[in-house]
Amino acid sequence: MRNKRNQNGFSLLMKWAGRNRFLIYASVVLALLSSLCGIAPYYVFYKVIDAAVAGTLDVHYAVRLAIILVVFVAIRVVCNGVAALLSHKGAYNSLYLVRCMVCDHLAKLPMGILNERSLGEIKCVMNESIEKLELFLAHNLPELVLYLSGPVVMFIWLFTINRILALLSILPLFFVFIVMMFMFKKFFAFMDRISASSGTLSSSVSEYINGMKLIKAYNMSVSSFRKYANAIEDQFSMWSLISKATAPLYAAYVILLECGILFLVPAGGWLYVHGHVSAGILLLFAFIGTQYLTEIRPLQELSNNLSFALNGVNQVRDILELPTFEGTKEFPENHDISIENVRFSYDGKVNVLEDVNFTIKENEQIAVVGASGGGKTTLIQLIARFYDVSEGAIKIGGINVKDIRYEELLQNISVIFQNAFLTRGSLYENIAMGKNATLEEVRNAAKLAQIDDFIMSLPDKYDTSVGNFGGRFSGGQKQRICIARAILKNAPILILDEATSAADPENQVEIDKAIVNLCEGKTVIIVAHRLGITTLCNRVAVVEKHTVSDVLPLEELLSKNAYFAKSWQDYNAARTMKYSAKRGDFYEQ
Amino acid sequence: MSNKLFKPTKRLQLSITGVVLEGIISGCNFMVLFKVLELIFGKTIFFGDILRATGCLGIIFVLRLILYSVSYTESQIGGAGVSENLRVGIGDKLRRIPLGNFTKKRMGYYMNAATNEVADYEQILTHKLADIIKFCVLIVVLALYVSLKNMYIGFIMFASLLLLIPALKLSFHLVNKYGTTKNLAREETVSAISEYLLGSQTLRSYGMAGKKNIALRNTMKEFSNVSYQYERALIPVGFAFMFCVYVGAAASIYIAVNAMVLQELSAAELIVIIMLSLFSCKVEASLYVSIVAYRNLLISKSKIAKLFDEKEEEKGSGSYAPETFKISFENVNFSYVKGERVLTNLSFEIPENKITAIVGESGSGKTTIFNLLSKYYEADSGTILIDHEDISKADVETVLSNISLVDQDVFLFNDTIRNNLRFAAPTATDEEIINACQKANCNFIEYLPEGINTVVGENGNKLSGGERQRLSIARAILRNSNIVLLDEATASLDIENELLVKKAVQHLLELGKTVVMIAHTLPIVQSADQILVIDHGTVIEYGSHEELLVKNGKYTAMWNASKLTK
Repeated sequence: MRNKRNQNGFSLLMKWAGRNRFLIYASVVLALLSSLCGIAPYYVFYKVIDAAVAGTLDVHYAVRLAIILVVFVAIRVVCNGVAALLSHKGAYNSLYLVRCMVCDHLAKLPMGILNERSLGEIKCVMNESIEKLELFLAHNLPELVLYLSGPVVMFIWLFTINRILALLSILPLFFVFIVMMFMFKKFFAFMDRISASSGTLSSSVSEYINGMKLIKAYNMSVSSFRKYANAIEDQFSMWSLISKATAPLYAAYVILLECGILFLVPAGGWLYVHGHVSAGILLLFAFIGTQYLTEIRPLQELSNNLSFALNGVNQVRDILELPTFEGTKEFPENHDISIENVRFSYDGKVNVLEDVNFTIKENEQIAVVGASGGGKTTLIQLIARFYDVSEGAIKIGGINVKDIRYEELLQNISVIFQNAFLTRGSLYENIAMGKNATLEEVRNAAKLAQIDDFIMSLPDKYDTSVGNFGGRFSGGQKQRICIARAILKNAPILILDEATSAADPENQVEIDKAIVNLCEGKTVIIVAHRLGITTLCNRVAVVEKHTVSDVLPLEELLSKNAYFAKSWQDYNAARTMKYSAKRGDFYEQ
Repeated sequence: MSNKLFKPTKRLQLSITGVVLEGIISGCNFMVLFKVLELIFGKTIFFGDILRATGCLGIIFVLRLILYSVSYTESQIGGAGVSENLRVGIGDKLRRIPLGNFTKKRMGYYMNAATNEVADYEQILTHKLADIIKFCVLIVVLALYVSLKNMYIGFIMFASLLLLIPALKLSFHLVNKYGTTKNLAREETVSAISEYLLGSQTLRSYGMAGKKNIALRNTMKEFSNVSYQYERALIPVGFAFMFCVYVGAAASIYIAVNAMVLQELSAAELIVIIMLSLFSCKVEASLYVSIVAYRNLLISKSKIAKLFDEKEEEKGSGSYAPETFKISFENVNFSYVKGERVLTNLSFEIPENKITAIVGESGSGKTTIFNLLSKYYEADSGTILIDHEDISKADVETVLSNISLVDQDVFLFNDTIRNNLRFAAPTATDEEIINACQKANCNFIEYLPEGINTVVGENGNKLSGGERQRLSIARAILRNSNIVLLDEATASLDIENELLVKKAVQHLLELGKTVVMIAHTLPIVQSADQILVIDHGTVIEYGSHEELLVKNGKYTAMWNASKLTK
């Protein structure tokens, strides 16, 4: 385990690929074999020259050579084809396995890690970065073998024919190497500017497009367009500069790869004239020794792809290395919740909550109130173990939530948040959620959630597919479907982040009823944005100044807690407010 | 005009010609080697001849180096130039696309077209195009040269080149056939994954995460299988093509030797011909790869072209100069998607300088009324009048010049607060700006390190939702336009912010303009001058709060419900 960090991207990827790695290995071996066959055309050519110089070239010999050529090309083509099939098979299977691995791992991660931002990143990794691994496994890897081994095999063959000329034939590599060094150096000098300029470009384009409505309303077309065009102009002038600096070097790299002819012809000629080599060898090197290095040309492009792929591997590894929550104990029978000396900080510097102490009795209903960003949501997330507390303990039935098996903990707490989530399955499946429930049971839950009537009014009733219909449910309806689901689940502890979605009044009344039905007989903790909810709860917990200052019944709290008393007053003011064109009519007493 | 933008510029064309020329010059190496060959077979070669040949090769080499450096660099710059022109063209086009098209999804597509797709298209011009032309020309030149020596072999070389056509046709056919299935499977996987991620909390609490989520696994497996089938169909085509090309080369060897035996070819010619035909096999392979890549990149071109083909806003065709600001809808029908009516025969009047509230269930068409009034969309039929002037006859900019829109969707430029406000009213003095901020309860500005000169970040991301909303109200106050469209939604705000925003709105209303307000809670609009109750895209009741209560209809039901909510 200790050297896991150092494990290189490639062997890690092969580990993930499991048995599929043998497909990849096989394709690499086949690619090597195909490289060997790649000599055939050159060999045949060499034999032709040799025979022609010796004057022994006849039709029979030509037929033999032609057959050799066809046979070896056939082997090469078949090897390459099979290699491509195997590598693709292996690659796509591996991609599937890696995706499954990431999904499984996500299922064990603390919920808190999966916030909106990181979900966006994970989605990007799941879709794009993993897809790029295919390019690496199925294309780049066999290609790398092919491009590298082809010239190496050629060199070895040439070396057996004439050592001096063979060594001269790789002289261009030396020049090419120097040119490349210069090119990279020049290019890296631009790196900062490239990222800055691309950043400006994408933010200008984004502002221009996203702001179009305002741009037209304010008649800013001309000036906004100028800003947009300037960013584009800047991008152009930057790339022109980079091109001027690096493109000649790249061009030199391409041409210099073929400069071997300038040494091989005079050297080979000298050796030939002095009788050290045959005409056949001279011509072999003059025609072929000058050409075969060009096959490494795509390597330069390949190096970019490789770093892309390795980057993808690292991104996947980063996700897989996120620590998971475990736990061994069973979920307790007793559902008293006690919060003991809890301190919590996201970043280890600023405490969001500190010194929090209170208990919630089984079947008690608690409302949590407080300023936004004050830690209300954090508090309920700690109870559901989205995060672990930094200090202190949260216990359910006397057992620390850290010790309860995580999966079981989550299944015994129903969490209802503002964003109602529906899967693409049918409404029945959305409410049953994997449970073996009869339609009867599902309907009963839906009735309690005030949504049965609506569902029965749909043409396909409970078989209505959400995937096809989802967009047409209103926010309020979606929320009631989620509540029906939670009612059916019947978990003993309920955590609600009560939504203040823009549901119309009639919908809101239905949602309120559904929530009341859901909460019946449960231990409930509810974050109240609409303070009116507090009237339905046994006690109200006030989160202020990074702690829970009071946990009291509503009436008592109103007289004891200044912050809450003020909020209560504001809330009622906001609710009774009336807009008017005239001053003074605003508040109604 | 869009086609002109795609075209390589003169400079780029010249540099592509340079690259092609370099390719042909490289073929001259063979001529020099041919001379050496002839000397060898003539048995009269001296080292001086070799040095002369080397000299020629050196000249060719230097020529190539210069020509390629210059043309390659020029092609890079030229490509960047085409990108620049295309992006500017896209920006210009975007100004003329109806605002209704600027939905979240479409904006993503526009964004991508202007950045990534253009970059991909540039690749075609700077790399693929020159390569393809160079390879084609090279093969043709070599085949012509060989034809002079031996017609049959020349013919084989031409035939190999022509074989590309059916091979590519077949491969493109397969791409279309299997690619569609693959794309569908990809989309399916992408949405299954995002569903899994978005719903991970729900799925886990119902024990449907990880290995237990069979549906997700099956979708991903299917994608994996379909992707493989796509490759399995395509892979043989390229290799079969290469095999045929080499069979042609093998035949050439036989033909050439036969011709030599018949003394139609010299030994030197034989060697060069076989060399050229083997060399052209390699070129064909590169050509095939380049064309396939070229075609893949062409997808970018078609995406950009599609943007250029989008329908444009109609220019104002008649006179439009309202002096008062009474608004009327007359028998307006509208649907976003054909067949799904959103507004049906909608008619109403909104009096000038009064407050009109629109209430109704979500999805009843309230927001659509704003969209039509702001000319984001055009009504399918019926007319919308402001002071008896038909807004369909005017430019968007002209109509919007009288309207301030305040909704949840606040857009701020990445600029200072002061400038963001000043965009709304270019002639406003600093004093007026500060005054507007005060009225809109933007007291948070005082706590910012640079006050009103603070840069708000990309789309105002350095400010909270409540702060952004108040700034947008300040903007509307400052703008002081005759019509105010207000989507009064404070759903996402906490109590403190809600109260501040509501007070800010109240100050906006006190300007006494023509106000149309979408209301989500009823008590707050009970003193509006007029309330329109919308249901299924049409007005079912209207009047003042008191008048509506007497009717005992939908409004009364909503009102009673709102009394029951906590």
